[in-house]
Amino acid sequence: MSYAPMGGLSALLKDGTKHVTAADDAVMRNIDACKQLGAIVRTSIGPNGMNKMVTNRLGKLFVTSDAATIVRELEVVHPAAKLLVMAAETQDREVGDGTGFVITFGAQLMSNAALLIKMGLHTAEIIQGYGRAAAFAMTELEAMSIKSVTDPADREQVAVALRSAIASKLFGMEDFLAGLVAEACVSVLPKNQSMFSVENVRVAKVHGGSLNTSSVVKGSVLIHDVEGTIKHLKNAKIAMYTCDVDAEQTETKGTVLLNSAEEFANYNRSEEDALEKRIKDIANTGANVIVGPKFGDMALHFIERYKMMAIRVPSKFDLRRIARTTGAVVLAKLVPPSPEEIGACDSVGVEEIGSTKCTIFRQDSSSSRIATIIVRASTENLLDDVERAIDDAVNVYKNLTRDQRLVCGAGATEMELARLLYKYAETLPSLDQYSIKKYAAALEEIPRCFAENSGGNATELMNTLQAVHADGDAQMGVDVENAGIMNAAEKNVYDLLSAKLMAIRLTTDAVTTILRIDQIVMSKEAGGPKPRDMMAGDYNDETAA
Amino acid sequence: MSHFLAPQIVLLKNGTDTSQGKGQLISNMNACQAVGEILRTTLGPHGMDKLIHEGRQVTISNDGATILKLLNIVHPAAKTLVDISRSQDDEVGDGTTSVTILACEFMRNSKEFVEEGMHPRVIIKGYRAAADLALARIKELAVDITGNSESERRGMLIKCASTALNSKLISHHKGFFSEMVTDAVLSLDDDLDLAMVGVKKASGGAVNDSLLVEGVAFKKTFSYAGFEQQPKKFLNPKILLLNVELELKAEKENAEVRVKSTKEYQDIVDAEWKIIYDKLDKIVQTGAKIVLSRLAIGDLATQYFADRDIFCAGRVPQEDMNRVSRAVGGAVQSSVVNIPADALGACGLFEEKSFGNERFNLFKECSHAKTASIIIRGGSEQFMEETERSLHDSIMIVRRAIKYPSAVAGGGAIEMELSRYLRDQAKQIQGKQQLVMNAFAKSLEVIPRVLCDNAGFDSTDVLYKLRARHAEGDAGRWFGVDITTGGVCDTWEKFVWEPALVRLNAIAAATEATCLILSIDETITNPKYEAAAPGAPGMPGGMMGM
Repeated sequence: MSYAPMGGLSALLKDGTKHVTAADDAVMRNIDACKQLGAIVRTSIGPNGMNKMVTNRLGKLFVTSDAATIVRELEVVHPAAKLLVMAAETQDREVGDGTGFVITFGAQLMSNAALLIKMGLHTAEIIQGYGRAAAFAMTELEAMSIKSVTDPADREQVAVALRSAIASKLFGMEDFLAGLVAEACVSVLPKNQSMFSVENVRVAKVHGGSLNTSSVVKGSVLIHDVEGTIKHLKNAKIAMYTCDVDAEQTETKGTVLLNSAEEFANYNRSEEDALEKRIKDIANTGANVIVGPKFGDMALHFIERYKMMAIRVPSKFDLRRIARTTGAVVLAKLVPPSPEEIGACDSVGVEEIGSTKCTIFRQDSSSSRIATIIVRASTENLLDDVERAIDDAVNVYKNLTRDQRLVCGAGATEMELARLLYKYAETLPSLDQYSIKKYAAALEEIPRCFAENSGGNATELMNTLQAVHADGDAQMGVDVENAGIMNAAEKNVYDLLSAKLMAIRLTTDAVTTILRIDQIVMSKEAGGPKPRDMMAGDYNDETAA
Repeated sequence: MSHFLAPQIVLLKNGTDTSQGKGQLISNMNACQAVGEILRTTLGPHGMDKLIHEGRQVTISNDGATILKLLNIVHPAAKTLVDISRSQDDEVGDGTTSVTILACEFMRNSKEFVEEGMHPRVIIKGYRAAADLALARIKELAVDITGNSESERRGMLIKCASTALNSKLISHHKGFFSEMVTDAVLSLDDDLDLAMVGVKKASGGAVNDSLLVEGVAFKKTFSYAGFEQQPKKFLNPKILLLNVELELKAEKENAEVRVKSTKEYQDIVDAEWKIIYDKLDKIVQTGAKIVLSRLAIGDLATQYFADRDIFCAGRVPQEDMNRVSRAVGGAVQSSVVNIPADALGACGLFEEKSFGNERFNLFKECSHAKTASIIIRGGSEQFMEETERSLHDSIMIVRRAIKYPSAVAGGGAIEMELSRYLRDQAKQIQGKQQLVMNAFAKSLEVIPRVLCDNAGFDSTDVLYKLRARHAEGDAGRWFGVDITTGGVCDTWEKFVWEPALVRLNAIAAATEATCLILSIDETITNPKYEAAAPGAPGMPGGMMGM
């Protein structure tokens, strides 16, 4: 391509526009980009996957093996690779887990496509083959469900189903954390199970201690102290406000006009009286806790005088959560709440966790709709990582309330699908045969990664796995602890069927979209002059005038 | 159009730095090691102090958490160490150096495995298993120190406090300070709120002139004319706590006064005076003899109070105010109108006293006394600061010991015992994990080793003796380094006691940190945000969220 005619397309486009064409060039470049992305992520998948230390552009440090986080913070710029990232992000949003699978599998599909192109297949044929393979795999997958969670309110069963989502991030902690997440999720499960919202399980991170001192609280946790001197209350009646708890201020700038000495003397006094009356009115409704974004000194003084507790909650999100925990209605104006607007909580109190003071709203009865997992760990990075693992697990639980079917984890399902696909390919007379076989090979990449990341001899392990699957042992997967093979069902390693289905669909869609591209046109960035040092790159040799 | 010729694929944003693989892992470990080396010499009774010069501020300390905080570490992996020492500080308050040294040693001993090609996950698994065994063993060995009587309990706590002080600058006075600290903590309420122990510094005098005030002490605040006429000593005074400014001032920023005649003008001026006199009058009417305010108390008020034999202090810091409120049982009032009688506090004795050239207000014999203050005396600012940090550690230790009353022997004894136990356990394991567990066991020996090194003893020699003693079984379980003679001794007998929680948390945190570092195989650094001008490539709005 070294002599792109100066007159051709580039003459039609704005100066500085990049233009890449022809199947072998554009497609190959896209494939290469996806492969690179896959190479970054592939060492992180599976329980033994390694962590990445990513410093994002804001200087925040992430230590994680969660593929969704890694690719989000990587800020991938290549347009084709970005399609794959988007697929992973969709997976993260829809299912919350399985992002590593999407990227690794996608990258492998792409690099297998490269082999097919070299063989002489046209991209259209590859796309068709991949599509058929995916359709076949999805129907087979539906039939492969070997177990389902009969009751999403049963903590034991749920914990088993959540194990693998946590094991893939924090191997060795899965039993403990899955238990915690199951406890939290089950405790807030609404009667109508499909109404379960991930918002209802919160994570409070408290630095210090160690991971196994983490615990679940029914209710909400705020990581700071209360305002006044009253620190503990049982059977709290809670009034909540979104406005500052203080004397009212006008939004409009104005001055108070005083005409006589009398008015002058009484001015401040009247303001104080008005505030006292407000607080008194609130106290008279029976409320003994006031929650608001900010408290004035004077208001606090009267709150103390009427023996109420004052809790400052600056975040609107936290306010909403506390409202949901206690059933209070958040009022926009400092008026006494009506009885139905007052929230109730079995106990509100300040507890010291490590040396951090936390305000804990506890609901002992089953009425709470929010549960909080207090995570303890010795480093900030670990705390963040645990939070992500818990988020994933809660998402898995959400899916579990909708679709209870489980398939074998540990790569057993992928191996079995691959075997079925090979068989299926043999029955087809068309060129699709080749691409379906490559699709199967890409699926086998997942157990291979598990094996590689566990430090075993991957090739040997794959051979053994293929052999046992050929013998009809469909539940055999990679034993990451001993770098051997094991029966996934016996070891309680399960994945959600819905997560797998979604991952296969999304990946195949993304891959076929990328393969359809035969031209890339990248406009030159809009905007004025950029800082020089940033632009010392490859695509801006001319001055950005 | 030269870029057409260079088929470079731009996957990541320009300027993004990625490094991957084993080399990366080892470089992270080395960075941590470098930090560990700095702290190594500060461990133990004979540990040396560090002087950290930052701008114009000089800090002398041997407190691990303080040093790490001041070092301003930027290496992302080494920051983990700062985190764990902080965690130890938050959780237990002492042992911040130990936790860092342990983590570094765990890494050092895992390095050779990594270099030999063992998968880091295998090491992580082994370390976690070893840590679990070690933690269980500590719980099994820990001795209950609840004590049968109050005095026995106090004695036990003093021993814990003095072990914490062993390694500090003021170790010569540990007997003196450990009693002081224990009494201060014991005087607290059940929740043992750290903020209720005030530590104040008054320069001048000798260290042993430091004293414990069972009640509250704070430095005299800035005062106006008339202050000297106020009485400085009261028996059984009533105390009023305010959050009110007692000065002539604009009543309201956005109020405007319009007057039509000079007479009216005079009325307004009078009204202003009347307002403040009313306030002062109401205060006097409450019967309070001492008036404290978080805000300023001006000339006029000071004079007014002096005439009526009332003591006042303005601009009292918030935390002191809280302590006074807890001690004397009064509630802080933001208005002087309708002050209820129960909002006033009371104490047995109030006096103003000089220490060196500082004057302190002391509230003693408080009715609700759930607070205590320690006044530190000493020659230099740095010395007093380090004393304050040491006392903080020691206070934390006593608090923890009250909450979780079980202790183990210090001086490296518990580490040696754990090391022996793990080695025994390792023999029953087949495969690579045996090596890993042995490495963990070996790493634990670093604590007695560094104790010896820092004291100038032959660490190899002492370690052999210790191993031999611990191999004897139960009789030798508490043998640790004898820091006075350079030999070994039963440190439990010598009353070198530490709350078990210190060791539990240290081992758990160090293991967590090591596992975290071991699990990283790639570092990706994105260019800083400020340079990314609007409309940079591949940055649609959707990517901005986090």
